Amino acid sequence: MVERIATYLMPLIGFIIGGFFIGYARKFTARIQNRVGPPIEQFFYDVGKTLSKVRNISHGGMFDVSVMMAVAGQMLSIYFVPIFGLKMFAFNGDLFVLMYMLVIGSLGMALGAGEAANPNASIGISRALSIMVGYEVPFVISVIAVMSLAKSTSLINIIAYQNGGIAHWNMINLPLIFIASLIALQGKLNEKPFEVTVAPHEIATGPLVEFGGKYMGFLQINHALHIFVELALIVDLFLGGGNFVVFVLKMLAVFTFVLIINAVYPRYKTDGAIKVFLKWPTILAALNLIWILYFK
Amino acid sequence: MLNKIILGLLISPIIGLIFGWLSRYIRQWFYVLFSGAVLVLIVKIFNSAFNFSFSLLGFRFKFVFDNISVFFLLLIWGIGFLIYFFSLPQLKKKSDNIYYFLFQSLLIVTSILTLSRDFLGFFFFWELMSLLTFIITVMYKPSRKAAVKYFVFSIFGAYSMLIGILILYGKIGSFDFITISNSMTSLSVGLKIGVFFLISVNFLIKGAVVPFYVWLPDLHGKAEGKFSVFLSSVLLKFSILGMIILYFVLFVNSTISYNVNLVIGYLAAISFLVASFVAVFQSSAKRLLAYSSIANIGYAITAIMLGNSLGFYGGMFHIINHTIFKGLLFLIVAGVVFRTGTDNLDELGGLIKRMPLSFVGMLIAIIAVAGVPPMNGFVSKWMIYSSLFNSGEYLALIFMLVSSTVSFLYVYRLIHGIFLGQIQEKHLKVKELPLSMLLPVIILALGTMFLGSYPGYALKLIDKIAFALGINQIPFTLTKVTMQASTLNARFVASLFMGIFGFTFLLFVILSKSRRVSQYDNYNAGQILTPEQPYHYTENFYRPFQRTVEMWIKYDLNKFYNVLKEYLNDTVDMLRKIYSGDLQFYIIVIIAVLAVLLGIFV
Repeated sequence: MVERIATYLMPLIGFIIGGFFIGYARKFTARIQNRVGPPIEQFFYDVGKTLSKVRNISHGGMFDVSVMMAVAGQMLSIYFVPIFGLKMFAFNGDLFVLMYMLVIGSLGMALGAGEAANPNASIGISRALSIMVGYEVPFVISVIAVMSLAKSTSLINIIAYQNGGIAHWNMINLPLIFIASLIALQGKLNEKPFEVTVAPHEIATGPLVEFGGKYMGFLQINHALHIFVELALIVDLFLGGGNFVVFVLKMLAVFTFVLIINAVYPRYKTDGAIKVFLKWPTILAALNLIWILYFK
Repeated sequence: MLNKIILGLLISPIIGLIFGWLSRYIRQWFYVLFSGAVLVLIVKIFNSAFNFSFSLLGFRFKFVFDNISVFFLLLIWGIGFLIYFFSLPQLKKKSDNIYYFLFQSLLIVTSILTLSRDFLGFFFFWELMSLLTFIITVMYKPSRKAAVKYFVFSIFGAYSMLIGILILYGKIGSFDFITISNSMTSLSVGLKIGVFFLISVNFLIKGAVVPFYVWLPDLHGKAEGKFSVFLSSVLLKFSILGMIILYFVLFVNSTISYNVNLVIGYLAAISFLVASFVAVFQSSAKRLLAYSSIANIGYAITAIMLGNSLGFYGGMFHIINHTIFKGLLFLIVAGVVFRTGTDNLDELGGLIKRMPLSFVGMLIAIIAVAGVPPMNGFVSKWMIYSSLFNSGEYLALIFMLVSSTVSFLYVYRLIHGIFLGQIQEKHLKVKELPLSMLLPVIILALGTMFLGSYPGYALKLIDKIAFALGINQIPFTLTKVTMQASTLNARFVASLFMGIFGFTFLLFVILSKSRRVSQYDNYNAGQILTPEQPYHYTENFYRPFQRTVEMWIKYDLNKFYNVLKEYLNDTVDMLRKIYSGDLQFYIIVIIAVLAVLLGIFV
């Protein structure tokens, strides 16, 4: 019973954890830059404010649908990632399903940004899709390596394969692949040095440029859920899952690593970012895949 | 009864021609009703199997109506019916008469081809299909050059297949598929592999697999709007029919070593990877879709050529889905061309406010093309991923996942180029498509959504083919597909998404209302936007991406074929010096030859 309730409430839990993670990110970056930073619960004030705006500007039907589709896509993906040792609905679809489910949200947002008829938004989407090809290549190779070790495409089996302590984690089994996926994660979470999509100084926050009021609020929720689900996926794939406390701590560790890189690096150009993804992480991941397939 | 049906089918183009002289509306409605009636007939005799044959010049032509035929007949007449319906508002010209006569003949020839179960009939109707396609495309001015290119490739493939058939006939002494299949074991391995490749070249050409794909983007991109639908949705699928007959009927009883099927599978894998990347940089909507067709038929060929049941189910299901969603996309693009006169993505934009229903249709279709749940393209792509994973073909799997990711780029380019962004002044008066054009769009869109939740209805049909071909059947229900260890509950995913979407919709509605603004009321760093200055990003949409990958995709096979063409031209030029058409020259040659012969013999 408790499991079932927890399963249904998981998007809400994801929203809260993701929100605190965003607050943590701002605080952490501020401390590195020798500032005080906003309070850790700042994200929730922001969402509350944007959602309660009385004047909202819409650019058309798809613009309205896009924000709903963005949040719905992320919530749907959460239901297919085993989190805190709960199986969720993951028995209805495997990792391939999840990989394409994660796109629904981004696709929705891209369509809405397109309808806004602002070239900054279109350029942002063009950049987002371009670097997606970049980070998907190493990530796809990593996913296939993980699946070939567990001999299953199901996330439940992948977690079960890593049972029995740190020595069984894929992070140890597949060290090069783990590094490659962390680099890919940096691009997926849209953090520096791969922050070309938003790039506030160049294209006025790109896809987000025309979103304000409650639309912005929806996209902030989307962002929190996105961080939560991507981190949960990495923890499931490489760090062996775990119960509530362990799982959140693992997510926090991965996220802190992302933030450290984000805090000290400048931004690549778009083609530079794609080239980086297609070079080092891809080579590392491919080498590791060849190693486990043919030499082990 | 059967004879009457066949007679009716055969004379229908002529009846259409006669009706066309009376009135083009009568003709068109005749074709609509006729193709609809054939569709109903096929559904009615769905489960029955019968065969018939006739002899000509001592050879027996054999035709069998079975599940494979039903599968392809449904594709042909379903899409044919929708195309006839779609073309109702376009009947401006009178010269259409011959065009529709040829098109109806093409429908009939392809139908007979699906029934044909011996190489004599198969080869004859296959070539008739190529010839009719050539005539229809060469009649339409913009596609004239492309049609010639297509025909040159077709002839090359035909000769290759003919040699293969004749070798088999020389060794086995029969054209019948069953007889050949049964005596296949008596052939040597080298001969078998040789024949396999000789015949498969023809199907690879029709399926536009690397290195024979260069004709397809030109032909599908430049052919007339509604004929592109038929080319991409139906004619392209005949390469699959050929592959099934070749691999699962002819060579099934004989073990072919060296995994020749995987060679073809990996050729298709290379072709879908390359085609997706090239599609991203097209600015013509139809050419973009043509490259996407190469990619999608590549997925299906790779899956089917795995030679196991998982791949077979996935590949065949992807063919059905591709027929539906690519037909939908080509129809909408044809509609956009009908309304605006261009398919150039750089000149369009912002049509979402003018053609909202077409936009929704295209949205559904691109979600399916990209392989995102909850549409049909996702289910079949998932089945292909699983089959590749379970067969251990990791390289092809990586190629396919990357190709799927790249497909997001081109589908977004497509929908953004036509429907999103700023609308131009000259397109402000564009109207939504007329009802008879919208209806096929709606039917195909509903089909895309329906098979995304209930894949079982299509899988039932594939199941029957698999049973007939002796392939192991996989477990599935109407909504749930199981591929070895992994399961996909398609309806669950779709309904969960709909439920969550309803929740976010409620959240959206209870928050305060929003105000619609015009496209000139946008952020532009304080500067006021006016209609005179377009504020729209569309040309070179993926320029940074292009800069990154152009070093890999600049090696165009077209260049290779052009060099080949030059050499051929030179060679033929030399021959022409002999066959100059000059009578005096011929007489001199004849006398010279006679003189030489006299010199030798006397």
